[in-house]
Amino acid sequence: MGIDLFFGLVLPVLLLVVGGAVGRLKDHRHEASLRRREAELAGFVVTAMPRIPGRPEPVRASLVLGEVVIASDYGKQSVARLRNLVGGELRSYRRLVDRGRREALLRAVDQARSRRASGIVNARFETSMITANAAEVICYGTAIGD
Amino acid sequence: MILVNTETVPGQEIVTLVGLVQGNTIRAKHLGRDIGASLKNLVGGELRAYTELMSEARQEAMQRMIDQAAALGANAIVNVRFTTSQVANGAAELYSYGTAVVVAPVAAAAE
Repeated sequence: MGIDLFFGLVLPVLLLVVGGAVGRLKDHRHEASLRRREAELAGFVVTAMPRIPGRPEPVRASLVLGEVVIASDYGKQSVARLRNLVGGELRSYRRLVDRGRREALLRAVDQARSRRASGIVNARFETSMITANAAEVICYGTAIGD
Repeated sequence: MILVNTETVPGQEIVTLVGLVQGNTIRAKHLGRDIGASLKNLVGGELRAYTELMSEARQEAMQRMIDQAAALGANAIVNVRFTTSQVANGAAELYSYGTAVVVAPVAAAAE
């Protein structure tokens, strides 16, 4: 009876609390890291357009690619399971994939900057499922320079 | 081999259109029974081992596309696109395709 209670109730709740708490902490840290790196972007243009208006025609161009596989935590997964019963938006998952996209974009920018590019044009995003709780987000585009 | 996802290569003019080129690879998505991934699934965050796995696979697909373009005599690939799709349970196809062309600097092409 005690063992059943432990595995049936205590352990899942424990995992939920630990997973959810650590997950949230990691989310906040990642968000802070993203904000810091996005602030350092100043002047570097990323656009989905084929060229940057108002700037002279670039001389150099090369493909850049940023990739990240990001996973949800046990807390988010539990909430998603409950949401599956009533439907509606999974806000925490939306924020998760959004952070994944921002991360992928920043990695593409890092690659572009290492080639001394001044911007990225034709930026595109793709998202795909890796496991039930993890998704891969990629951002690719053409890094341009003078 | 110049790669861009725009229609043209800046500073260059397309002299010859070679044709559509592609490269793909199908990879098992799982790293097997590794405890690291299970723990990460508890707390979330980036799965670095998976990021590297997918990154390597994508590079392989891109290299196949580049090899095909080189074999056809192209020196650039424009309009490069990537797609990822689940083709079997636990396996993903990474596909990259583009248009292989021969480019020359604008001044030289005008001659």
